[in-house]
Amino acid sequence: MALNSDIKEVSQMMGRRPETLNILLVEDSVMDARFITGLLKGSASGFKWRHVVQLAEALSLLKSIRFDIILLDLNLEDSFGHETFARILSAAPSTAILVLSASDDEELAIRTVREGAQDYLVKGSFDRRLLLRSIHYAYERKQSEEALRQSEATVRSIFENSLDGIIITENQGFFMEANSAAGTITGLPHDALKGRSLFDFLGQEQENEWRTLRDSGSGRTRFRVRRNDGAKRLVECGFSANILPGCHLMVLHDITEQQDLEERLRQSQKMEAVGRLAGGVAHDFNNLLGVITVYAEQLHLSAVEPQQRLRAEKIMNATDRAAALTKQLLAFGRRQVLSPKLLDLAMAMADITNMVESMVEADVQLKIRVQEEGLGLVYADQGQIEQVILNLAINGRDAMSAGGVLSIEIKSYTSPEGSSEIPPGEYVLLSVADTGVGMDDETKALIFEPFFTTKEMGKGTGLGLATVYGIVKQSNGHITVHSEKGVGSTFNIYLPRAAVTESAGAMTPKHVPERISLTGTETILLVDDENDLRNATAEYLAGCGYKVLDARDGREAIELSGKLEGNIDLLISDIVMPNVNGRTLVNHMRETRPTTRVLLISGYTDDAIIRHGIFLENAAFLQKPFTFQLLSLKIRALLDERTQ
Amino acid sequence: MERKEQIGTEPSAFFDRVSLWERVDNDMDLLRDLVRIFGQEYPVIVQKLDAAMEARNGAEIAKLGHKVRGAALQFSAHRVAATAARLEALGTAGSLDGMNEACEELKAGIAELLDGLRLMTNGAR
Repeated sequence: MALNSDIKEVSQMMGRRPETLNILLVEDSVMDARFITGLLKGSASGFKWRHVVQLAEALSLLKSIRFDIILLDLNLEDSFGHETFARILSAAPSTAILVLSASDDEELAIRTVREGAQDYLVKGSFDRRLLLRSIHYAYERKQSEEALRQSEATVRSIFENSLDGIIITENQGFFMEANSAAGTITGLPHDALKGRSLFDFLGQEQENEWRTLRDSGSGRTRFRVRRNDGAKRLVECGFSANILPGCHLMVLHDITEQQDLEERLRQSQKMEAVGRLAGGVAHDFNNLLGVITVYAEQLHLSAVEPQQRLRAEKIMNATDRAAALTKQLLAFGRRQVLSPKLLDLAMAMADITNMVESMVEADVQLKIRVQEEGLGLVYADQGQIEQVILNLAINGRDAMSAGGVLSIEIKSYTSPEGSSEIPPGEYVLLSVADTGVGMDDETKALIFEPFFTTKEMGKGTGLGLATVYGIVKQSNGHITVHSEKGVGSTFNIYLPRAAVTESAGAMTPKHVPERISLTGTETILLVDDENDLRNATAEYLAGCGYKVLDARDGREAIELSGKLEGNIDLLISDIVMPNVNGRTLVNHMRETRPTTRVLLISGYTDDAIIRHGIFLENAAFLQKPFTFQLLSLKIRALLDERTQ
Repeated sequence: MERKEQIGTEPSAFFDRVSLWERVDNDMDLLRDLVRIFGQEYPVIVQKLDAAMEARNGAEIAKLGHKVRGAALQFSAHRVAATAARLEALGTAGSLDGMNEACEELKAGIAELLDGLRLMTNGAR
């Protein structure tokens, strides 16, 4: 049965009539049934038939067997007239039905044919030829109808299920048909689109573009669709004019998200490129600052007149600011490696207050409140915490285009037991609050996602709050946001309070240009391809009592080391140098002079150095620019450590 | 043509034997079968018709009239078919006027039709 059925299906698909037509004869008159089957039997055509006398039997058979033709008498024992036809049609809508009736009832004949009967034959009016012809025609017509219906169903299904919006318009742009996806794009139920105009959703400025497209026959363009709710979608429109006379096809593909994604990717790549550029610039800039710093310091130390001393100090202050700028540049490019230390948030805030002040607009009032006593320390990277504050301040500022109050508060906070928001414990709380536009819950849920931004194009990277989140999490902290639309937003950052009370920063010597007592008599090999910096440093170190050997690059240093019979107590070396670089030199020294301490100096960040292949194990690092005082401290620490 | 001659071409007042012979495609076996079945059904129909008349059951009379009409049409018996149609219409309308006459006329018509058909099929034998 299944095989036969398959053969029939294939045959039908190929548009051929099966060799044997399967007929259901529904006839309560034994004589009429004998007459019809007698005519069929004598035919050369192949027929197989089943005869039933009642409608119920017929309906039961139709549940399990698919017939090609139903020969149907309307007046049966258990059903009469049109109802018989209606019930058979409902049970076998895809099968050709040929009505046989003793009633020469024109009205009934037309009605049944209109509703789907293939023919209506009056008993006594047909012979074998007419019956067979009617059967064959009925079958072929039904097959054609089914094929057409199937084709229409396929097209309708494609139309309805297409993920792209499909709209048929007439000449003036009024919608004749629109599918569900078109409804999604325009923000209206698709059945409400019929009769609407294309220009209800396009700006008038796009009207000419559409007319040009229509007149050109076919093509593609992009439209900005203004949805019914006011939102805008960017759609790519494929257009084919006159698919039927006066009917034009538009296929709309919503590319809003794709466009956004591409824009974000471009922005991200731009940030990456800027970051690389910033890193490179920072290196050269730091080298130059190094030279300026050491000479300014020398000037300061050798100054006799107070005026000269003051001028040297101004140069040194300027280099400090330039160094800070370089640091910001590196932070912007996210090229700094996290180096957490015990940190006083009050001091960190003080360091960047000027920068925050310079960022806010004149119509934004900045309020900074810092707890003066008992604040406690946190374990975090100062540069990154500064970045957090700056990012949140910028975010607050941008939320207040019409002015307002930007409040930054730093205080200690104890999260109680049972707190659901923040785990219980001691924290230093950094709050940044604005009185700006605020956010709805939907926006609030997305703000820490990378690349999410509510700012207009070109104003935000979508990385600001994502970076804040990452830094806070990396610092074992917590962040919460409270926001109300039209009222403003408050970001609370909770950093765990460290158990100790004195920060490492407090040990860092301040910029006091006095000749220091950190002198020595050890031998130092100084290697740097920056001649000015090397000379000035060598001169300074010699003035401190050290025996200084200097070399322009790694190769010269290796030669010098090879010839020298005495000790080299300390190697101070730049890393990126021509010929033999710092890495090779360090490796050589570690092999030939294992007791020599190493201090690496570079205008690159430590991150860049690590990527350059030099590991800082057993080697100290000092980033350019540095002061002589800092250098002396570092040298003394390294040499004294060796002797201990 | 050869078989047509066998059934004779003399006109019948009750059915068109030429038309009937063509419609059964000159198939005497089929025709005999049809006549045999009609002969078996006829007494049953008449019995039912009498019962319906007695019970004044218009719907049943209409149904039987319709059935006889179908059979008569198959035999190209147009006069019998017309009488059956009249009875069917009266039954459908529930009208008693003329129903007895129509019923009697139909029964007589069927009997004569059956005789004619038997003659036709026996004559061909």
